[in-house]
Amino acid sequence: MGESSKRPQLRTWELIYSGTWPKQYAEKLRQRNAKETAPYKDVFTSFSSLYNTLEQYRGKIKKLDYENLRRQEDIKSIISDPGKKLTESDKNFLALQQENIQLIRQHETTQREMLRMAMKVKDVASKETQIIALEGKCFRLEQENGVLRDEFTTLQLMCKKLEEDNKNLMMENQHMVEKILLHKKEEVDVINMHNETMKKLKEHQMFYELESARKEDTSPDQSLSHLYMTQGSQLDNISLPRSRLGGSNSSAGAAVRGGLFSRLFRKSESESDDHESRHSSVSSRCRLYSGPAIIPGNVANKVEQHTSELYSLAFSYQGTMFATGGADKCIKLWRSSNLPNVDSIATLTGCNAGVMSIDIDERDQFVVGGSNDSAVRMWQVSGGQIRSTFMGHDNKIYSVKFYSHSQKIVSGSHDRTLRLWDVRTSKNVRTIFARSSCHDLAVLSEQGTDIVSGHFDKRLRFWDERQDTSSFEMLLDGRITSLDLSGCGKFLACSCKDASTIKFIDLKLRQAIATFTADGLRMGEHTRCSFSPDGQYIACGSTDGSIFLWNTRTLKREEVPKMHSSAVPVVKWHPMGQSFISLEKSKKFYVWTDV
Amino acid sequence: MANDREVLREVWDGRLPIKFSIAEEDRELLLMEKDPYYILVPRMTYLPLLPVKKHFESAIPVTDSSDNQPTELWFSYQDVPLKWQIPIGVLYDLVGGDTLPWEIKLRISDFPADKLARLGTTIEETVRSSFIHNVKEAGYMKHRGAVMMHLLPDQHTQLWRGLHRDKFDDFWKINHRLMEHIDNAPYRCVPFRIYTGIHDRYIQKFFKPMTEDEKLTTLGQLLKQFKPEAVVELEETDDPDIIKSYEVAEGWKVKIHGIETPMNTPIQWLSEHLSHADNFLYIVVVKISS
Repeated sequence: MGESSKRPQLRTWELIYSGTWPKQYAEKLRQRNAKETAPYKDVFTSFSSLYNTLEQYRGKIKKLDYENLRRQEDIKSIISDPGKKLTESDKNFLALQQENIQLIRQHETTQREMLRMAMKVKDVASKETQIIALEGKCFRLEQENGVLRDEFTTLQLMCKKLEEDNKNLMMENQHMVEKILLHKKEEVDVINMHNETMKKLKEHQMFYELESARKEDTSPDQSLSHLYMTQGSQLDNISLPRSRLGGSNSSAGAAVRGGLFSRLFRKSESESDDHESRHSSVSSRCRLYSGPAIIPGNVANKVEQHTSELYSLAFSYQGTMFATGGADKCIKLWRSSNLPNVDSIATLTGCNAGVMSIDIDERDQFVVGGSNDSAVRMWQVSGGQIRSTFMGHDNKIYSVKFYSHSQKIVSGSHDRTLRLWDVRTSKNVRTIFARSSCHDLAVLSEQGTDIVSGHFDKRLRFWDERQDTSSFEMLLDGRITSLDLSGCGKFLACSCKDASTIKFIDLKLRQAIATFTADGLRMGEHTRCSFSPDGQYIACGSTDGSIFLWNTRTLKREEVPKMHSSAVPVVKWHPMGQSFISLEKSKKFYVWTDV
Repeated sequence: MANDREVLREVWDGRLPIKFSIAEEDRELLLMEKDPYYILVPRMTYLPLLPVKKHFESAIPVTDSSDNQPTELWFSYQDVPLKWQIPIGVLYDLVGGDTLPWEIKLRISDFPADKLARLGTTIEETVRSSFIHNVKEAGYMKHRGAVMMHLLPDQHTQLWRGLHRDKFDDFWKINHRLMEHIDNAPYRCVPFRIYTGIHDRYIQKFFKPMTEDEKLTTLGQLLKQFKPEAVVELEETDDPDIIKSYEVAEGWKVKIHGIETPMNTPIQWLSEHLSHADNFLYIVVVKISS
C-alpha cells in the first residue's frame, strides 16, 4: 500500500502526456486505418447501403407478394361469384378512390379543426362538470315537473269530465223542463177536452132524465113501494152538492116523503141499538143507516160488462153507486139507486194492470183503486179523470182504504209495506214496514189510530199511524185473504185461506169469538168475505161458485142457492141491506134479491 | 488523464472489412443458398454483436439435424475457431494475416466445445455480462474498484450501449470516469492481457505503471517481465527517465490495435489511450512465421 500512496511528480505526468506518443500513435493509427479501413470503406459502405436497400426491397416484395396473394384470392373468390361483381367492384374502387381523395382533403381540414377543438376541449371539460351538475338539477326538476304535469292532466281530465257531466245534466234538465211543459200542456188540453165532453154528457143526461120524468108524470100507475125506493135514493143525491135533479113538483114531493121515511128508519134503528149508534159517532165507517139485511135467494140481474176476471167491489157510503174492478185494468162505476137494475156511470181507466182493491170516499167524489202495477190511483167520480197517482210501492197493491174523513188513504201491498198517503198533496206520508205481504186492511177509527192489516203470514196486525211497530198481533188459522168491519165497527170478519175458515173477531176483546166453516168452502187467493150492513150475517164466496152465509147471532149457516158456475171472489151487501152483489171470476156479477 | 481525443478517436474508428460466408462443410445443411455478407466492423466490438446472423437466418435450420438442439453458430478463420470473448481487432491481429477483407467462415455444425464457450440463446446478454465482468476486473486492478462501485446500473448500460451501437461520445462519457486517476496517482496496476495465440492462455499479471523510485514503466519492461523472448534490451538509453529501453526481438511482432508499438511507450499512457472497451490493454505478441 505504501507504493500506491506515492504521488508521482508533476514531471512524471508531463512525461506521459507531453511526450511524442500521442502524435506517434495517432500517426500510426491513421496509417493502420488507411491500410485496413480506407480502401474498403467506400465499397463496404455502398455494399451496406445496397444491402440495406435490398433488404428493404425484399421486405417490400414480401409484403407485396403477400398482398398479391391476397388479391389473387380475392379475385378468385370474385370470379367464383357472379361476374358482375368485378365491374361493380371496379366502379366501387374508382368511387372509393375519389372518395379517398376527398377524405384526405377533409382530413386536413379536420386536423386543423382538431387543433382548435383541442383548445376548446379544455373549456368544454370545465363546462361539462357544470353541465353534469345542471343535468342533475334538471333531472330533479323534470321529475317534479312530470309529477305536476300528471296531476295537472288528471285534474284536467276530471275537470273535463265534470264539465261534460254538467253539460249533460244541463241538457237533460232543459230536456226535462221542455218535456214537463209539453206534458203539462197536453194535460191541460186533455182535461179541457174531458171537461167539455163531460159537460156535453151531463147535458145529455139531464135532457134524458127530464124526458123520463115527464114520462113518469104521465104514467102514475106505478107501485108505491117502488116509488119510495127510487125517490129515497134520489133524495140522498139531492143532499149532496152535486145534485143533478132539477125540480118537478111531483118528484120533489116524493123526495120529501123519502127523506121522512129514511129519517124515521134511522130513529128506530138508533133506539133499537143504542150501542151501535154511539159507536157510529166515533167512526163514520159505520153506516148511518142500515135496514135489516136480506138473505140472498134469487138472482135478479146478471151483469157482464167487464172483459176480464173481476177482483174487487166497493159500494159508496150511501149506496147510491158501486164500483167493480178486475183484470181488465179498469174500474166501472155503477148506479145502484134502482137495484137490481144497474147502469154504468163511468169507466175509470188509467191502470196498467188489474185492479185488486177499490174504495169510494165519504162524499162520493173520489174513487181510489189499488192496482197490480204498484200504483194507487184516485179518480174523480164526476168526469172520471185520474185525480192523483200515488207511486211508491214496489209490488202489487192488494188493498186501499180511505180514512180520516177521506183526507188520507192507506194502502197495503205485496211488498210487505203499508203506506199512508195524503190526498191533498198526493204524497206518501208514512211507510210502515209490516214484515209480510198485506192482503187486506180495515180502518177502525177515522183518526188512523187503529188500522188492522191481514197478512200472508196468518197474522192480524194492529197499527197506529203514528208508530212504526204494530201495537198488537193476532195469529189466525191461515193466510188472511180479507177483512171486513161490521157496520157498528165492533166486529171484524176475517177469512183465512188455508183452513177455509172465517173468524168472527170481537175487536174490543181482540179475540175470535166464533169460527165459521163449512164443507165445500174453498177460498181463493183473494176471496173476500163480507158482513151484512146490520151485522147479522157474514157471507163468503167459494171457488166452486157457491156462496156461504152464517148468522152471527145464532152462529148457524143459512142456505144460499148456488147460482155461479165459477169462483166467487167477492160478495157484498148493498149498504141498505136490501140487495146483495156477488162477483164471479168469469167477468160478470150477479145482483141478488130476497126470496 | 486520458485527454488525447485524437488518439482515442482513431482507436475508436478502427474498422475491419470482413466477408462472412457459410463454411463449405456446412453448405449442404443450408435451407437455401446465401450470398456472402460484407461488413465494415469496428475493431473494438465483438463477433456475436454483428448483424451476421440476421443475414443468414433464413438459410439456417432452426435445430441441429444430429442432436435436435437449437443450431449454434460459431465463427472460424482458416479452420481456427474464433473466440467471441476477444474483441474483433485482437482476433484479426492474432490470426488474420494480411489479406483483406478478412474472410470469416460461419459454422453451424460441429461446435468445438473444447475451444469455444457457448453463447446460449440470449446472445447479447451473455456478451454483455462478459464485457461488464471485464470492466469490473480492470477497474479493480486500476483503483481497487473505487470508480466502478460508484457507477449506477444505468451507467453500465450506457457504457455497453455506447460500444454496441458504436457511439463514441456516449461510451466515453462513462469510460472517462473509469480512466480517472484517483488522488492524482497512476493506476495501482495496469490491466493488460498478452495474447500469443488464439487458443493459448493469455498472460494477465500485476504490473505497476511506475517503479518504486517513481520511474515510469514501459511496454518493453512489461514484455521483458512477462514475455522475455519477444524483446531484446538496448544498451544505450537516450531518455534519462526510462530505466532501460527495449526493442522487439527478431521474428516477433508486438501489436496493439493493429499497430506495431514503440517499446518505450509508458504503460500508463498506453492503458489510458489504447485499452479496449473493456479497459484491458490487449497486447498481441506473435512470432512471424517464416
